[in-house]
Amino acid sequence: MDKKPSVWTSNRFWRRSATWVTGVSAVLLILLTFDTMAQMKMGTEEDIKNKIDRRIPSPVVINYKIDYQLNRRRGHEVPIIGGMDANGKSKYEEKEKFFGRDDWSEEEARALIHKGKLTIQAKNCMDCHTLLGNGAYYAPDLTKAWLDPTWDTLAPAYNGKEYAIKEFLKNPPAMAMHERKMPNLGITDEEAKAVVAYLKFMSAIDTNGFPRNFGKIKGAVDARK
Amino acid sequence: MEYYMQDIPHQDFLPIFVVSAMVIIFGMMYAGFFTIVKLRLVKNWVMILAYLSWLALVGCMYYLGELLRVEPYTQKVLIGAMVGYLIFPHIVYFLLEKVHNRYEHSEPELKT
Amino acid sequence: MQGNRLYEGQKLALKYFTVAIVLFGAQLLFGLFAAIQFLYPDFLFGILDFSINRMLHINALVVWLLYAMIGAVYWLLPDEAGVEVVGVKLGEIAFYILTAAVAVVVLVYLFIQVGPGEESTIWFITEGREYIEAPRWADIGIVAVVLVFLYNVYATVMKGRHTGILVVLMADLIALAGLYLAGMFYTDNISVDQFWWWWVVHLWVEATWEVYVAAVGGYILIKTLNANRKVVEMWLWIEVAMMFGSGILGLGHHYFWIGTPEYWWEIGALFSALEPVPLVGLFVHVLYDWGKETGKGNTIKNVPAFAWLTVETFGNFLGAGVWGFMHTLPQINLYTHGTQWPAAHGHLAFYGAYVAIMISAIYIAVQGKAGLKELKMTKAGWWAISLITVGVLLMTVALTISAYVQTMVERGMYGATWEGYFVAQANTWFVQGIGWRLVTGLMVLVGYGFLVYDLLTCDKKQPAEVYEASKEAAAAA
Repeated sequence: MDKKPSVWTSNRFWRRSATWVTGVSAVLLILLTFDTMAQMKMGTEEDIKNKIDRRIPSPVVINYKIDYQLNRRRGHEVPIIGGMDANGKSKYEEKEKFFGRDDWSEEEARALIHKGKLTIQAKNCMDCHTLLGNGAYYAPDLTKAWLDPTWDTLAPAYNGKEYAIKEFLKNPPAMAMHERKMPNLGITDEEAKAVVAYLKFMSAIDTNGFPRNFGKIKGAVDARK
Repeated sequence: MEYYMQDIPHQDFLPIFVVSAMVIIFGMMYAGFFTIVKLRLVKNWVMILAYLSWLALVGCMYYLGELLRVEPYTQKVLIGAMVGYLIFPHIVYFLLEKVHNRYEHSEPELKT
Repeated sequence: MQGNRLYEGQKLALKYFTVAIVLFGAQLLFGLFAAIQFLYPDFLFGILDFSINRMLHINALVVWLLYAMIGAVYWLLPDEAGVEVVGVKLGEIAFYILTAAVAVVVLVYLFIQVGPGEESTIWFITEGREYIEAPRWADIGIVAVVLVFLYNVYATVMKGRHTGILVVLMADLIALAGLYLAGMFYTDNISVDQFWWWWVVHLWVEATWEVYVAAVGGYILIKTLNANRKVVEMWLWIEVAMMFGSGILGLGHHYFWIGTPEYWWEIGALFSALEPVPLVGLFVHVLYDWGKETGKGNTIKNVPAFAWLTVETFGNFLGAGVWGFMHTLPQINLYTHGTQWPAAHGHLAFYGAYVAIMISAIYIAVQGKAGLKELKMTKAGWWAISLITVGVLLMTVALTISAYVQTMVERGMYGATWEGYFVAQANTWFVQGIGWRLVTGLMVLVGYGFLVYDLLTCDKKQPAEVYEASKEAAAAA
């Protein structure tokens, strides 16, 4: 080897490049993760009292009316909790009874969604449904299931849609809506109630406008007029 | 104000999927033609096809951008990607030539 | 390779490969059940529901790929390092523990299926999180087994040669194992849950597994084409730079809609546009090597392994590159997220990027076990590679048609409601796509039959000159 080898063919150069690229990417990812984690911290009752929007609100949102409306400033739909003001922001005022009460305390609500999330995992919901769009594609997305017009049509017969969903979950084949039935997973009354709470809570998560135009055509939550 | 997300009319979905596939397929054609010409496996004039593929790639990407109604940030990303695709096979080929010339006739140290 | 003599580590590798191929069969079987249920929902309803079949389908996939990955490392480790695997007995015990644990988990999945909504279910029955459903006790077991594996690898390399391939593998395996920890906790906050869940899923399949494949692919190129080691190793570092450079922050394309801040749109779009780059690089590289080698008139030492490696290059490019790019930009992903699109992309990408190369590595082991200088393709081998590859390709096309219909009808026209979902599922074109998916799935299953037969018999069905050449080589040595 008489000529000086070029840096481009140097194993050492490329090893160092690979290490640096990997290191810098990993550090960036970790920094971004810190910021994202802070923004995704679950809100508190205090935030709701102070009308502070949280990406993941406090579970006490189950006491409020939840809606999903186009936000002109952000250019996509956002969850609206307790009514919308003139600027398209949540008012956190309009309440809605959930299983006959609209005064679920922070502690009670947290216990409820804790049970709900455990049940969602224990019953493997994600291997038929999608949650926040992730999961299997055999059954409908549950991200905004609480707001789905299907339940509005069933609600009157059950004195409210939370009761309708609960009854459905306890024995789905009995209330089958489609040939592709949901099986009976042995969900108890308590578990079903908790899952309904989780669905309501999940519909209040700010998903950057996913799903788009929810109910636009069939007027689910009169999303777009 | 330019929103990040614009509505996409349902009749646009098919062209979107077709052109986005074409983007990558033309990219592969460009890289493929480029490499086989450089290796002298085919005549030199085939290089014209390579650059035509790249032009088709840019055309598809432009159309894709239009269909997706992308805002300025994504426009810049897409333009950058196009320039990158133009240069990238040159870099890869340059490196492979260099390294092959260096080691072509030397025995590998570790013979298994 | 000296005649029939295998390292103990390589014998252990054969055990891992055997279980891998069995689990591959299980994956196809449960996938088939799930595909049938899409068309005939009453099939096995209440006995093996879709969720169970689907869970077994994807878990068998992940576990058999991990088995094959561990097997391939045990195979090339003593060969590369030039010494016997350190702690191979320990490795063997770990193998039996892992296999017993997998068997228990599968039996629980099959017969207990779901549990009450309590912590105990997460610990003993299922974690209910797609791809990593394994209960927590099994998670801990997996970590213990992987620690043994890592010890084997590190101790062996310390004792033997430090080749570039081994150095990359060592660094990559530690990242791969460490990432699994990100999926081992419970939280009520579903957005945080999915955020870390993607750390495992994405940083495995779009970063650390890709790098693993590049390293093992380099080894296979040396074995089959006699490629120049220096070239292979330098190129490997370039691939590592490109894959981690695009893949690590490419994580952003999973953070568009799960409650994460908007800046992930920009990050995800940018790095997703970069993700096909290493695949183009790989493509040019293989084309270059093939052109150079055919120019020299070199023979391929293991035709089936090289053929599967070729499938890997194109499959990775098509599945991960083309089908990935088709729905990755946030503007379109808003409509395709949670439809059959990821299913279409996932089938071809997993097959192209991982299944093909693991089968290639298994063929290398088949050749090594038989002690043959060369391995030619048999008839059964051709049937296997053709049926499986064409099957998966057509399956992807079929799912893509369904995906397009679902996106247009459910998302574009019906505003993503349940009604829209079911209207789209009933659309003739959608049903046609799902139907053809079942047909192509059967095709893959037949191909799998040929593959198993070929792996077991191809060393005995070689043309006469192969045996003569091997005998001569053995005599000369």
